[in-house]
Amino acid sequence: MKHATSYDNKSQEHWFMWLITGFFLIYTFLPLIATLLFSLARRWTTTILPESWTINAYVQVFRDPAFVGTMGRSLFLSILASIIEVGVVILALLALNIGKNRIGDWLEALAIIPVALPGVVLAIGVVSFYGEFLPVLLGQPVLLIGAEAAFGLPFVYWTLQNSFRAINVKLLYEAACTLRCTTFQFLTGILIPSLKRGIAVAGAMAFATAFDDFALAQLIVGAGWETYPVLLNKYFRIDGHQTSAMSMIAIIITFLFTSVAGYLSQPDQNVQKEDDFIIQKKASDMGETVKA
Amino acid sequence: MSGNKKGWRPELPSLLTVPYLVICAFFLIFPLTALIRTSFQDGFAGWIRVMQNSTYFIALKQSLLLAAWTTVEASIAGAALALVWARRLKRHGWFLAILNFAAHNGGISLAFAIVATLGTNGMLTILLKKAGINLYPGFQLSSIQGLHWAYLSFLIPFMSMIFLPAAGALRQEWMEAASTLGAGKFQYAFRVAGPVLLPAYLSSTALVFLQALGTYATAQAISGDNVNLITIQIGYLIQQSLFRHADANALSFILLIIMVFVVLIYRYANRKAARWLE
Repeated sequence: MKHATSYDNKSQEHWFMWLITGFFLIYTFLPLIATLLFSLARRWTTTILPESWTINAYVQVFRDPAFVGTMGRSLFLSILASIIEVGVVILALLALNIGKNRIGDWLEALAIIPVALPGVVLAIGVVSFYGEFLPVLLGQPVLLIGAEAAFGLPFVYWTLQNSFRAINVKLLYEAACTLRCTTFQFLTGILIPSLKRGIAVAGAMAFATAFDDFALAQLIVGAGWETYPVLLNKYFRIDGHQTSAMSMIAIIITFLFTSVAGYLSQPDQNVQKEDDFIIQKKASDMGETVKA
Repeated sequence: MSGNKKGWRPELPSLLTVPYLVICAFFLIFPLTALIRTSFQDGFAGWIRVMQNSTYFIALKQSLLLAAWTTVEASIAGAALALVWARRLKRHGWFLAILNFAAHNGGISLAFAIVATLGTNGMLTILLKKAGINLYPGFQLSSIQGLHWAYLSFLIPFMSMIFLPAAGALRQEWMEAASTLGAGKFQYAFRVAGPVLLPAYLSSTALVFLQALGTYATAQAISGDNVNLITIQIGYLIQQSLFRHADANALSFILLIIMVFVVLIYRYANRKAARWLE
């Protein structure tokens, strides 16, 4: 009897789970399928599927010199911003872990600001500040790169903070110090390799955030240094066909980075535990060797 | 030599935070201070002008309405999704991959995808028409109602992502303990799971609200500046001319105050939630 009810509950739960998951998947993928079909359609007015097909939209996109230019800028911007973000956060968290903990609250408070801050507000702040003090920089890509780096900080900070928690950095650092490693050697030889998963997740997310951003790009540099989303927005109401192909390309890039980051951030406790164990063992081994 | 090293070591940690602080100072703190200062440039005159302008007032009202509406729906759907998946993630990494993608797939490309789905010639519009349901002319994508569908497509997975840790903290043993003590399903939900999850639910909801209120790209691309929202007004004013910057500054400051208020709620709820998550 008891078995029967628990089995019943299970299947009921399963049914509910697949219902809302199915709804979610359709919600997520139907617009993408529509975009893909639109970009491949030659004629499509009243039927469910396009009446005839073509890849002209993609040919048109790749032949457009503006595509190459804006894509290049966007890639440059996103790669640079993600390297800056991961770099400054690793250094700051290292400081936090090996030094006194007073600054921790400040660093964390700073990392919360961009969560609450809409892109438009940050953009107008940047324009106001530099317009007043350094007008030469207005419209320059350096402002956009800096703003993107600041804007993406929260996710990078939290992801890397979790990775730091999983290893005992202080112990590792002290062992490295006793072995006369320089801080640089410690960073490249020990810290970065043991954080590689966190760095991959944080870097991928930082890249995707910067690549997709429109508000900062449009309002800080705009047409002066056009990024891919800014071009996409310009074409939005001019040429639906080309816009659909360009949207598809942007969606695929976002998908690659965010899904890999999502997959890597799954709670894979077994592996992680083992890693921690090995790392901690290595550290304590190091410590013991030194003591001996 | 070793004395030298000892003198140098303690300073190193603070030096390492310099790059982080420089980025935050030059691209968060200074810009925000400049924004606040310029919005008070002519005393409260700019403020009064902005608040008396009915267009801006409606923009603020509609933004809050849209954010509240989407937040309520997204927080319920997102939390449900997180609850059913929290225990299954270890074996189903693909779900987390899709969730993370959906939560971050915003901006102009999403706007186009939504238009291709729900626009006058959109795929879903045609599908529904074949099924005998005519969306148009009653429905309009370039409206609060239309934008609401676009917002949900990233707010639901966003809510799920941030609610997952809390949903995962709910232990199987608690349910077993409760049922051993004679609690039914509802009693468990209201007296155990509910109280444990409520703070995390509130803090996640606060973040969803912030996200909804601050959305600009998707809204402006879908509506083409036709729906009056506060972010669209700010973006429009910045791009118009330098003379309108004062209004944009004042509007941004109003938005900032709302944000600070919501962040305080978030921090309060988050502190309560942390009890169960560690």
